[in-house]
Amino acid sequence: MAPGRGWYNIGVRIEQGNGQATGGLEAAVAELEAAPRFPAAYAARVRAAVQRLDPLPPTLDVPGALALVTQEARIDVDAPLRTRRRGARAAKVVIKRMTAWYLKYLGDQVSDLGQAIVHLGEALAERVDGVREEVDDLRDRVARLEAQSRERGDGA
Amino acid sequence: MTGRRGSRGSSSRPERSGGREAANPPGSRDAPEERATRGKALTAIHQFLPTFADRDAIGSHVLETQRLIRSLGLASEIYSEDIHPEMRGKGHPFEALAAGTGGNTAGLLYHASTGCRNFDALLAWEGPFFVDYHNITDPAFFERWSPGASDNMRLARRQLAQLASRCDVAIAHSHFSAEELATLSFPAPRVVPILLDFAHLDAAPDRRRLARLKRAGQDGSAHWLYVGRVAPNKCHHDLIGAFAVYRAAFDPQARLSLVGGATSESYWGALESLCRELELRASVELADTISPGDLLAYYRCADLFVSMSEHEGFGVPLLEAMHAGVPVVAYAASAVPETAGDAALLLDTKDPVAVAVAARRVLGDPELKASLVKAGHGRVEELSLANTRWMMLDALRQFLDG
Repeated sequence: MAPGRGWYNIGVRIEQGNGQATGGLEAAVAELEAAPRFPAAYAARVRAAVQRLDPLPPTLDVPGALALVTQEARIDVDAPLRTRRRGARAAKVVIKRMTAWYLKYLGDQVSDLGQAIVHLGEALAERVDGVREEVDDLRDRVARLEAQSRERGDGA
Repeated sequence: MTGRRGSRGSSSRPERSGGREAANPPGSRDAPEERATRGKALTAIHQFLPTFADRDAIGSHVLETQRLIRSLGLASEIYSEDIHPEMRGKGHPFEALAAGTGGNTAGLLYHASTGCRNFDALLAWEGPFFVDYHNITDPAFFERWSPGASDNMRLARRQLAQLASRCDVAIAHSHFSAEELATLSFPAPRVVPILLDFAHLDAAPDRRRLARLKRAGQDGSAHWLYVGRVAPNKCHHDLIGAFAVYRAAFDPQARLSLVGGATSESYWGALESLCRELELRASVELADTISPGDLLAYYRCADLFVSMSEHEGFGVPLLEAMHAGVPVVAYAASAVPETAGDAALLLDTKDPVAVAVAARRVLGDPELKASLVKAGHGRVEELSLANTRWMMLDALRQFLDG
């Protein structure tokens, strides 16, 4: 189960021997997930929410990029209140309460704009895919016609 | 069990003969015999690190290394571009180093972990050049959250590559890091654990914090702990996900404390949103930077230390938890398996359900918990300052003895 075995080259042993402890973990997970009391819907929500914060892949395809825009277009107006300065938190709480209605109003519009951009992106991606298929068809037809033309030329 | 994602690095050891002594291009570095002659004439080994901060693993390591070098009868000062206020009496500004502390009888030990503003000036150092590699985080982790930090890491990696032709002796704190150096054609890197003095962990914890944490745990619920800066490579989001499942499936009153300041504010904000989304606001504490006494209170009261970090050059908090007798469950990525040895339950998956089940196994099995704690004490002993100082000494003598 556990990868990575090795030794420091100057005397300290590094080897993990917890195979027994991790043995059967996969079966235990399956058993838990099959149990009637297991909160399957919540676990699925957790997996999806966590995955959204994973690092970006090195290259994004069109659906991946659109998924990212969808995710980033959700504007969080609940600003963090953390601070090291005494009294600053109280000030932030007051400002946050005073401006909450305004920020929510703006945030909703920006989120809607983000969604609209995603829809536009999806429509464009669909159109590009359609055009690409048509081009491929045309290329095939041209190749066939060229072949037929060559055959006729050879015959003549 | 298959992980949701693969590990970004392998923890297998590098070839020990992976250095490039034999393939040294003419003029790029001195021949070994010349270095030996020059090494014998050394009168000082100074150290440079881009940022010199208190309560920082690299800062502590640099101070211990200074003691070690001085014990060899050599002069040794610490220089940095960014000295935090609490370290001002212990380090000198970079300009003082540039003003001519060197000469060819003084060596420079360069601690590589982040980008350096005055790198070209350092490359012009006349004397022998040592590199102590603490590892540089993969910039991809920061791309989304802190593009500026990502750029700095890219710069650090470019600078590291340049150092290969200038370096006389290279040290890495794990085979994971040594492998990177070998790939960049550094001279055969020596693996030396980071110098850690665990004595400060035996001090008294903050009494008020201790009392508060003990009160919170009176109902018998589990207290998970993770210590480390809030940075995307530490993958706090995976930890929060695993904790959410653990709480929902096994222990509705369980608590998670995430101790450490923010390296990425936007990632911090995303974690707060995640806690809200998963209805964990009351059970997950983002504790930020805290005092040493507070940290000790957290270690004293924790039932389990869980790490989902994907990129560590060593992993000091794993050992701190072991020292405090807290069992460790960790994702086996980068240098984590090397540092934890056989004293942690290492996982090759970060799936939240699997991690929750592993945590339950440790917390629900007193025998397993006791064996991990015992192994943890053993691991801390193996990597104690008494043991690691001579390893560092051995590495430094590599040059001094020629």
